[in-house]
Amino acid sequence: MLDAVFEQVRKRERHLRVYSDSETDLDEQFASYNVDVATRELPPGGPAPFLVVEEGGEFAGAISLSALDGLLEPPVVRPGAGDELSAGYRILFEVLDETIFRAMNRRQLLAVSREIEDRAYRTGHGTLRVSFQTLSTFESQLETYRHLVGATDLDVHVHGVADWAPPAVSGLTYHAGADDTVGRYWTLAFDGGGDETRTCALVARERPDGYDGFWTDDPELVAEILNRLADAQAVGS
Amino acid sequence: MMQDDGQSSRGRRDRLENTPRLSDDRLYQCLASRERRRLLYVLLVEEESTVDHLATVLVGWELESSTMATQDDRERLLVRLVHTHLPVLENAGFVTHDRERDTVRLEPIADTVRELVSRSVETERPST
Repeated sequence: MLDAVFEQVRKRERHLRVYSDSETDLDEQFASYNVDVATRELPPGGPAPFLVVEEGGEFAGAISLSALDGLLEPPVVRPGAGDELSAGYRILFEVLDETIFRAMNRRQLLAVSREIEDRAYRTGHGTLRVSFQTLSTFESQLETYRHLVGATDLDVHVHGVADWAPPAVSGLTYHAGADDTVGRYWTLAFDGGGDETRTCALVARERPDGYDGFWTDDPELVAEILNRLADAQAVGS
Repeated sequence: MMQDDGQSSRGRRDRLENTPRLSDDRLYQCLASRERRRLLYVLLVEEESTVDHLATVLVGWELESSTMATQDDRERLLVRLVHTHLPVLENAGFVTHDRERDTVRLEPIADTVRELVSRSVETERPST
């Protein structure tokens, strides 16, 4: 179900290459993003340091490090609307819109989940799909979600392996997944209520040492995650 | 340090004499373009480089403070490089372009010319 989207994000062949005549801390700055950062030395007295964005081994764009700062540090200023952006910007923003993490524990995962729930709460409408592996894991969050649907017009769907019979709550729809992979994923996806600047999703997969996964604000990717959760429901419920 | 396989120092001296000297008009034709001056400047340091790398460095050098250079920008530069700059520099004996490996190598050049190239690029710095 979500395996495909998980692998798709992990395997994106995007590279950033820093051209600079001195050391930079860009690989640190990009450490939590799903991208490789390499450095290529420039001759002293040459161009001011710049960043080259590559996709599939091909040059996609180049931007000066001073301009890049404006994209990384608040207040972040992003040029233009989606369609007019050149490939370099598009890829860079995709990278910046996805944060990857490794070996996160349950408590940290809950904290990140609260951010998505909070964004949905403040938006007040739209669709939120959540899957905390099993329905019994949802039990401890029932009160949070009761409040969430009570105070908003949100349409909330809860997925998970059916190991607990949840009480009926207006605004909450349960989907008991039969699919084995449901049980491995901790996922929240919010469609932004029609506002593309408010979409967000978290996809985490349980591993022996904790959870690996990613957080994304990318509307297309969020839509795909929502679709896959909805599809799983059609098959599994 | 720039020894050629199988060639005597005589051969190297001949080649050095074939590269532009300060009195050579071809030298000034080479240096008349900012992109060519920058190209030579990079090669003074790196001695040998791929055409791909040179194109990327030149694109980066042209960057305005707030814009993203595009694939088209780089493609256009690559065309200028391959069809204009490299032939001009090659005719003047400055560089050798190995078309099979797509690498460019700097030929031995006189110190006076080396200095002229460095200075011409370094003096453009304040504007950037």
